[in-house]
Parts: sequence; structure tokens; C-alpha cells
Amino acid sequence: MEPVLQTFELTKRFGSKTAVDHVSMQINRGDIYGFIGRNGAGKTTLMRMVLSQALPSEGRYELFGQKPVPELQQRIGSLVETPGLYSNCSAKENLLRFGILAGAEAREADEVLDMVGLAGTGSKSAGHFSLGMKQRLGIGIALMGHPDFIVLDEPVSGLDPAGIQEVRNLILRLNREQNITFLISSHLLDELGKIATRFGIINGGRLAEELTVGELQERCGGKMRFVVNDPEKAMEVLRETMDPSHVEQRDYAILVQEGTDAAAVINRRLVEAGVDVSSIARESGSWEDYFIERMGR
Amino acid sequence: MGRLLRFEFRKLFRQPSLYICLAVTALLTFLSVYALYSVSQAVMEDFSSVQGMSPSEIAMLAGFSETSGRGQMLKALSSDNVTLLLGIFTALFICSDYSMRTAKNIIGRGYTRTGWLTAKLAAVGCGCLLFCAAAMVVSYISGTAFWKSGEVQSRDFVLLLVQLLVIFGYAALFVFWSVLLRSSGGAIALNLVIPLMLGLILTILDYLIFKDTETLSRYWLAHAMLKASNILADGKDLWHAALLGAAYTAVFTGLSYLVVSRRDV
Repeated sequence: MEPVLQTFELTKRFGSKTAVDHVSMQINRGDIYGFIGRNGAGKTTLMRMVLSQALPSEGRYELFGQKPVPELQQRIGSLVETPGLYSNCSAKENLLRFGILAGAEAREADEVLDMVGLAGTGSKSAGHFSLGMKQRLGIGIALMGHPDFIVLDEPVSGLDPAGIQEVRNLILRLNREQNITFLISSHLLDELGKIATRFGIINGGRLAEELTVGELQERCGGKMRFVVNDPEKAMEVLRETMDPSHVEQRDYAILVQEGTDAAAVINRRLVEAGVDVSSIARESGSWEDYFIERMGR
Repeated sequence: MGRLLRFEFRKLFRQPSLYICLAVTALLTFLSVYALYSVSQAVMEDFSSVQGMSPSEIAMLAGFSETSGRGQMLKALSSDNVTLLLGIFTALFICSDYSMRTAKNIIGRGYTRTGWLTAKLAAVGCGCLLFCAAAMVVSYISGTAFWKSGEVQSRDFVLLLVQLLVIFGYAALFVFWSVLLRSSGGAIALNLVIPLMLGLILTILDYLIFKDTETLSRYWLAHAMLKASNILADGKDLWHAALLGAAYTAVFTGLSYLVVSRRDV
């Protein structure tokens, strides 16, 4: 696993308030890292620190396995909080200006405009854009210069459902085709759940947990649902062969904790015991409930 | 650094406020010269009984010592027009990256705060030269049109150089307030008020404490500019003005670096 970002006890204090409290996390190449936390939990502050926008009070971080020198920092694109745009300039002029900083060629601006769906805005100044258009332009600025790592803070904020879908597809495409690593925070947990490969949950400035999608499914109590003709007999069979606390009966359905035995193995046991299985399905637990519990109510 | 400079200069030359402030500087400079010309014309009528004298000689006799393109050019920077408009422009240029939240895009791309400020200072320095050039060219042309061109002497370049140093001192002060306040409105207000108020306050203090007009005032940029724009200024005055301009530039540039390097964007 090649680390793209590692933080070591990173801390930020504002006077007596500790916004980020000794956070150590790791994001690897190719990850889409979903960063989850309540308002004021420290997500944005941590992002701002790894982008050098805020100075850490304590701790340090590494980029691409090295000390964060400007050359490495230039491989990062970002959109943190509201998009920073020159409101009296067109979308293209904004991209051209920030393209200079990113070392991008001028023709890249047109490609990015197409990519974020702003190709038709012409000379209209960014100040007259809708919230969603500004957000797209902010994402476009982050994409200039072909970054290896993109940090997005609430990237779909202000977008309509179609816009949210476009941004989601864009992130997935860039991740799959160009192996770009993402660190994304969002309050739309369901949306983040559709794209993230790993999650970090921050609560009161502290990193409560880091987990993969697989681990999340396990912790959310994902269950397999077997619909059978004789639930009592099925319960009896399964209790003999596995931890009874992992099995429960609901009418004609038997719910088995995921990660215990494979569905095929359980199915064979039941059939061999003379129990007919009419359907097997995965019953997912609520990720949202799990996140909310970990983020602190 | 090259990219940062390209970025800041692209922004500078595409900033409408630069052209608006330059146009207003040119207009105010022209109006100042025209006002002087009108007054000198009125005085000339009073002196009309004096035979055999040219309009310039009459104006000189009446106390208008710089009635030529050259004289107006050397006095151009001493008016408040240039410093006030430079103050407005500097505040708008520096604070735009804070108010539009674009500063975080720049720093987030791996550029250091000091590198960013250096590029900004270079752009503001270039803006300073444009303001000075606009004021001097307009005053030279209008002075020449109203009176005569006047013979430019090699010493004039020394005067202009010292005046430029003083203007850079003003610019450094304006940049400092802008990075400190980060708000265009607040920075413009301070940049307008300080040049107007400080000279006045120092003069009052001089009078109240030292019973003269120069003990404290001579350390303020306006006083240095007044000396440096006087055709008859002696070497000592020019040295004092040059050192004061350089000192203001160095001190307030240093303070700006200190403020920028220690604050989040």
C-alpha cells in the first residue's frame, strides 16, 4: 500500500478549543476516503492543515511518503469550504489563472470545462453563477494540472440530484481511469457510501475509527436472510453448528450474521436437514445509523 | 516563483480596478494642473501692466515656480491624488484573494505564504510604477500644453528616483494594512485616512510639544515627498527623503511577511 497522506498526531487549537486532536490517519493510493463527522467535528480543519492552509499546532503529516515539500503539495487539487473564485472572471479565465499555478497547459481549461459541464458558460462571470455552477467550477479548479490526490470538502453541496450523480460519476471515473486518490467529506452519508472505499469517522476532533467498506458492512451487522418452510427446524440445525447469538428467527425467515459462514454452506446444511430454502438474500444494516452512532449524537 | 509571478501579473493586468484607478489618477492630475493654470491666468491678468514678460515669467513672478511641463512632472507625485488612488488599488488588489477566498487555492497548491506575498509585492510594485508614470506623463504633457516643456536636467532623475522610493514606502504601508485587515473596505478606509490624518496629527503634536512644525513631521512620508518634489531641494533633504522611503519600505514589508507567514488563509 503506497501512502498518499499520513498524519501523525496532527493537532489544531484555536485558543483553548482543540479543533483537531492528535489525529493519525493514512490514505493509500487509489483510495476514495470518505471523511465523516458532524459539523465542527474537525474535518475541514484537518483538510486545511494537509493543504497548508492552516498551520498545525502540533503533529505533522507526510505526502506520498515524504515530508510535505511544495513540489509534492503541487500534486494535490482541492476544494475546501466554498469555492475560491474570481467572481468578475469567466469560468475559463478562472481555470486559466489557477492552471498557471498548477502548471497546466491552456488547452486543459477547455477539457476541464467540458468535464464539469460548464463548457457553455462563455464569458459569463463566475459571480453570476448558481451555487451548483460555482461548486462545479471549484471542482474544475481542483482538477487542473492532473493532480494525483484530490481533497474535496462537501463537493456536492448545492448541487441538484442530477449534478450530484454527475459529480459522483466523475469521481469514480477519475479514480478508476487515472488512479486518482480522493479524500472527500460529505454530510450526505448515503452518497458517500456509494463511492468511498474507506472511511474515517471523526468525533470531537478525534479520529474515532478508520475502516474499509468490508469492515463497515461487518460492523453494521449485515445479515443473510434465508426464507425457509420450517423455521423452527432451521433454527435448531443452525444453532448446533454456529454461535446461537448470530442466528435469529423472523416469521419464516432466518437471519444469519454475515461473516460467520458462507451462504452456500448454510444452505447445504439446511437442505441436508430436510429444510427447503426458497430464497437467500443479503439484508444490509443501516450504515447511516452506524455512522451517526460513531460520530456522537 | 515564476508561476506565481505569472499568476499575479495576469491578475494585475486583468483587474478592472487598475485601469479605473489609473484613469482617475490621470484625470485628477490633469485637473490639478488645469486648476493651477487657471489661477495663474487670473494672476497674469493682474500683472498685465508689466510689459515685456512671457506668461511663464509672470507666473514665476507671482510665485508659481513650476509652470512648465518639467516642473509639473517633478511635482506630480507630491499631490495626494497618487497616494490615495494607490491606497485604494492596493487594498483591492491584495484583499481580493482573501475576500474571494482564492488565497486558499494558491496556498493549497503548494506555494509558500512568503512566495505568494513576494509575487504580490512585485505586482504592487509594478502597479506603483504605472501610477507614477500616469501622473508624471499627464502632468508633463498638460504642463507643456499650458505653459512650456521646460528643460529636463540630469538632477531631475535623482529627484524622481527619491520620489519613487517614497511612493514605495507608501505602497509597503498600504500592503501591510491590507494583509493585516484582509478586508477591502477596512483596508481602503485605513489607506485613505492614514495619509490624510497622520500628517495633520504630527503637525499638531509638533506645534503642541516642540513649538515647531518639523520635529515629528519630518519622519512622515508626506514630508519626505514634499522635500523630494522641490526643484531646489538640497542633498541633505534628498538623502533624508530617500532613507525614509527605504526605511518605510523595509519595515512595513517585513511586517507584512510576518503577518502573512503566521496566519491561516
